[in-house]
Amino acid sequence: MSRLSPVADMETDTRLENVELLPDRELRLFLDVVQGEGAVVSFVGMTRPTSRDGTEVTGLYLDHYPGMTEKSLATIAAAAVARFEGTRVKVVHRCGQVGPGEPIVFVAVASEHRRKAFEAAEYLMDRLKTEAPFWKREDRVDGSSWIEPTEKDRADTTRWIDACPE
Amino acid sequence: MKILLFGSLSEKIAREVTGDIPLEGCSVAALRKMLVDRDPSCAPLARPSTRACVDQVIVPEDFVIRPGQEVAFVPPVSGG
Repeated sequence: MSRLSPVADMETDTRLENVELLPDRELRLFLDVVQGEGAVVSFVGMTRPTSRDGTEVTGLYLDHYPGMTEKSLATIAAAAVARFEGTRVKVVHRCGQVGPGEPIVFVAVASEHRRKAFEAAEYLMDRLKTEAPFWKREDRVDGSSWIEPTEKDRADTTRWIDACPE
Repeated sequence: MKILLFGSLSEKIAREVTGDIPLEGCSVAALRKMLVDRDPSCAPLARPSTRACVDQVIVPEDFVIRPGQEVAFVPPVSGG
């Protein structure tokens, strides 16, 4: 199995992968392309080992729309760079079968100063969590179910629109 | 032509279904009705929460699909 679709330019690097995500390696590679920015923030999202009601999760399956999902990752990354000027952004997202406790998303932002880097990372994650075309199926010891976004996820994205309409 | 299905729709129905778009085009609403009338197992396509994508962009119910366009139905996204 291999990388599905690399999309890269000067400030954004987004990738969808159906193989194990290695955050330490991704961060190392990101640090290598940082050019004098003084702040680097990274975030790793991991699958939870239990569902909301505490049932043991055996895995998460992420369905995606080939082409549309890759474009969405690139669009969200580009929006972050446009909104937080002077940042450099990297997003690596898993698709397919992900085990419990495994990394599912890696986000890194480099910026001249830390505040902008923290904010851009949070903006990226809020939008990825609600808009990216992924459909998650949670496989538990007692069965499987497809997950839909929560009101909390929606509110997290809406606050960026409220803060500054695009 | 093939109509792509994702997420729970692909599990409940199939990864893809076939449906012909007339030369003059057809609305999303008409396509849903045609698919569900033809095969009751396609009932989840009639749900309001199911959205249509044409050429990988989510479109409204009155959007007119033309032959040759890529059509998909998707459930609400779970997000990343």
